[in-house]
Amino acid sequence: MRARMPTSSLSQPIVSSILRDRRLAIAVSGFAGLNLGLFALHLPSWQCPVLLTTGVPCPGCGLTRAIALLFQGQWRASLTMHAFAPAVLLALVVVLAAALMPENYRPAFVSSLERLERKTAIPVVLLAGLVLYWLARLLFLQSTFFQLIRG
Amino acid sequence: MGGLQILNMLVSLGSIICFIIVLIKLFQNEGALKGILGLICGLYTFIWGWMNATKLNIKNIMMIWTLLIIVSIILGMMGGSFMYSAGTPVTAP
Repeated sequence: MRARMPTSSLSQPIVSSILRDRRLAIAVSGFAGLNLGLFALHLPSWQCPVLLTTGVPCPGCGLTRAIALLFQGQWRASLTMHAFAPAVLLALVVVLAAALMPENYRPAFVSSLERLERKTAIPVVLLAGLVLYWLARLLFLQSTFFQLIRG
Repeated sequence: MGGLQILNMLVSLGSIICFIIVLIKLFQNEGALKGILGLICGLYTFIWGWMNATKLNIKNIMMIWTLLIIVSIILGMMGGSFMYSAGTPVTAP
């Protein structure tokens, strides 16, 4: 059995730990797909509890619409809505691929992703970037941000 | 403020309380990074909550949260969902 690498909170894998649990990977990709589908069909979909209660968009608000715009090929509009849409879409594609992957290929795929996550600390970089991006929009572009998210 | 809006406000409030309870459990069990992920993506918190509902004994909270989400969607379909602060129609996250 291979020894686990030492865990540092900054290089903690996120995506690969979701992928380790196949049920969680299927649920995450399934719900994300369902949410996108409902949104594309103009049907009621998941509503952010933070936005709904406080009226203040959370760091993830606008991602569904931004990803939907990406699918429509509207890059500029998508990036205006949420700059992290391509990264989140890529993460969702990885989660979906791992969820559908045959069981004998999955452990190797997840392990290589885990190594990449630990080496590059990409989850921390992305999460920190997302929070900073949200703070910048909230502090410096508040009215545009609120208008954009509330539609 | 109409009855529907008050109901919607109460549903949203209940929903965020459930969200915070599950989010605290997420932070406690999975660490800060996944906690932040849960804060950013409420859907992840919701899925994680259901997947660990039995283990963490939060099945009742998850059932209430799910019910509140369904009620919120129905209310949204009935008359458009409103944020309590400004009565602005809410769109998808």
